[in-house]
Amino acid sequence: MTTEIISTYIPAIQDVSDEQLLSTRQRLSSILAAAYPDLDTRPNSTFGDLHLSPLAALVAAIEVGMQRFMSDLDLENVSNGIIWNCPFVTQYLKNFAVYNRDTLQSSGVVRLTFNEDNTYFLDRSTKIGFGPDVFDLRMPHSGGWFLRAVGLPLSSGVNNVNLVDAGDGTYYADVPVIGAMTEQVEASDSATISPVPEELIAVEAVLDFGFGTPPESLSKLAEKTRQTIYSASMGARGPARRFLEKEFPDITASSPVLSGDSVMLRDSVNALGIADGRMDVYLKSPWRTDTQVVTAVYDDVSDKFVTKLEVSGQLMMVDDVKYNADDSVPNSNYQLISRSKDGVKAKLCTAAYSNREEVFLVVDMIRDEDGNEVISTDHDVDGNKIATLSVTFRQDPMVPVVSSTLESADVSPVGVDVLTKGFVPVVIQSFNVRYSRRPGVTMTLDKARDEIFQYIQGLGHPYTYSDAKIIDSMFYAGASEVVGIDVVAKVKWTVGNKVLPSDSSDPITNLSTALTEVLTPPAITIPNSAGLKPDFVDPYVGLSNETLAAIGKRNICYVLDIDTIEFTEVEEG
Amino acid sequence: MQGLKIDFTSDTGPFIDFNKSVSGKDASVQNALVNIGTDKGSDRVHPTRGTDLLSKGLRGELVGRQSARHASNFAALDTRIFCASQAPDDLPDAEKIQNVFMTVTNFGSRSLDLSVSFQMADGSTLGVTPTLTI
Repeated sequence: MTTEIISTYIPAIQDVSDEQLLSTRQRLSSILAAAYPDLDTRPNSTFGDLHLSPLAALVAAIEVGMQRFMSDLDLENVSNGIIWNCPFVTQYLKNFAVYNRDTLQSSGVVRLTFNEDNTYFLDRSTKIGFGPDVFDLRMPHSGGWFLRAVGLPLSSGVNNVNLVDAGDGTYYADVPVIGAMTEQVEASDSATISPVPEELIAVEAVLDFGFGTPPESLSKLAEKTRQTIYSASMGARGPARRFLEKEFPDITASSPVLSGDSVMLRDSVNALGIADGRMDVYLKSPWRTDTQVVTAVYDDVSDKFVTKLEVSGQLMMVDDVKYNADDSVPNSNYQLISRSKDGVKAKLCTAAYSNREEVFLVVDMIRDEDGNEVISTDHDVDGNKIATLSVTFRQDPMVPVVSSTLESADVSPVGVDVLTKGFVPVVIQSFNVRYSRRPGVTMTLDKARDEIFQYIQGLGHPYTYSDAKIIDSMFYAGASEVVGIDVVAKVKWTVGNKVLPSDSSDPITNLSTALTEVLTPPAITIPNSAGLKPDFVDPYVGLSNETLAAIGKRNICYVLDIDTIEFTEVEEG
Repeated sequence: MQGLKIDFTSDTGPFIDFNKSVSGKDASVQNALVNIGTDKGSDRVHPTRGTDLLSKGLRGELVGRQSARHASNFAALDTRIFCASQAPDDLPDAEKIQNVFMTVTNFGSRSLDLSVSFQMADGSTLGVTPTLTI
């Protein structure tokens, strides 16, 4: 890179202000007077007019050039878009990128699909290739990745994940990767892998990868550099957020919640009145919809089927349950029960949307009018009656990735109990915008619908819902007035609609007893858009019926299907 | 103070004589003469430098002896004020211009003769009679 100082930094003399020219001439005159007291440097003198004045103009221009050069070294100016020499600033920022290169890498998740349910091992040297870009496996712990067969127990402190039965004779596992990305990798893009594990049939991206070093403006890059250079730890709220942003650029929102925050219900107070250190890391990445075939065991006491749902990412919502391959189980005929598998670390609803949550699917045996079983059944090797169900669900692929990283020995903060979770979703069941328009105006409602959808889906701390954004979209779409925004929504405290205490009966082995022990989290239904920023903490904390449900601006997100957005035109006046 | 001498006596017009120098009150007076002939506003760094005398002559505003006298008086005042503003604090009184006097000695169809004299702060005077040909 050749830095052409004169053409990029030094201005034309006519662009230098009169005040600067005068100031420079006077300063030069003073400097000369000290060394040459008899030299006539006054205006109208030969030396003054023919040498000193032109020299002063040149020196003033050079001074302005120096100020501009120093401005390019000031990342605050660069991040505000004040850049004089882009090639120089690009090279300059690369110094910081080299220093933090491993923290500005692109990040993503790949799905490895196999045709056999076995345990596979991916060596640390495994490479995943997307076109010209090569990615490494992200290793929260030492050693390679174990992709364990379906149902096998996982080990802590080891990079391992279970295969998931896709139901079509294939089995898959999602593995996080990092690397330098020059071309955007999008969800479902195919990849190559080396070395190739046995029985592997496909490798593809689970979600759009996030650029670690985004191909954005230099001002954005400088702003990111200023943020990352000063913080790189999980020790406090701000640095924790910066750590997540630089390590996992594909996260769309993150919110560390600490002891003392209203929505932190995992902390407790010791005899000295001092709260122990807890941090809940809420995060969100683009959810993925998948379908999985599960085998549910029949419990003849309760006349229901039960199975534990285990998915590759973090289970966030169940959309549909099918039996007999095609028939959907009515919503009233199945329930999802959430239970914490670690009542010490996170009990009841505090385990929701984290790797401490177990979700059990309980489906009624559907019978016809004559009482005959409608759901087809079979028997497993132990003679238990089973049914094959197909579950369509939404999952967040990044929650387990971040969780395993934050729990690794190198990252986990000393003295702080960290739990990674997905945000608590507010599911918007109906969203109707009433508007009026002037005669002759053509409304672009499709565009408004898309903007509203993108806006609400993208919300996450620190950005909370505001009617103003909806109104803006409607005005741009042609509306003259937004008369009202009618919303019906509800808070989903957990994936399930019921919660079981950790010390309750195991639903798999004793379903009928477990069903008597379930708790129902408080139902919060939001009747209008003003209620889309709920602030609620379980009032029964400490009592036998506590569920520890809590929601606030720090842990809320919104779920909205684009088809839910409707518009109603109201006549003007 | 010392500087290069400008020779105003040449028939071909003033020129810088690199072989000679001016110093003391001669340097100050030389600067003042340059100021009289400098068009006011031509120096963006010093907006008050120069006079309107030459530009008025070129624009035909010196329509008679009286207007020429007025213009020359203003030019003398402007020159006195500017030279005083540019004088260093430690400039000796002998080199500091206290007053400038300009008298029209001849008003021709193509030229204007002025008698210019300078009174220094120490009381001494110095007079020259330049010819401005317009």
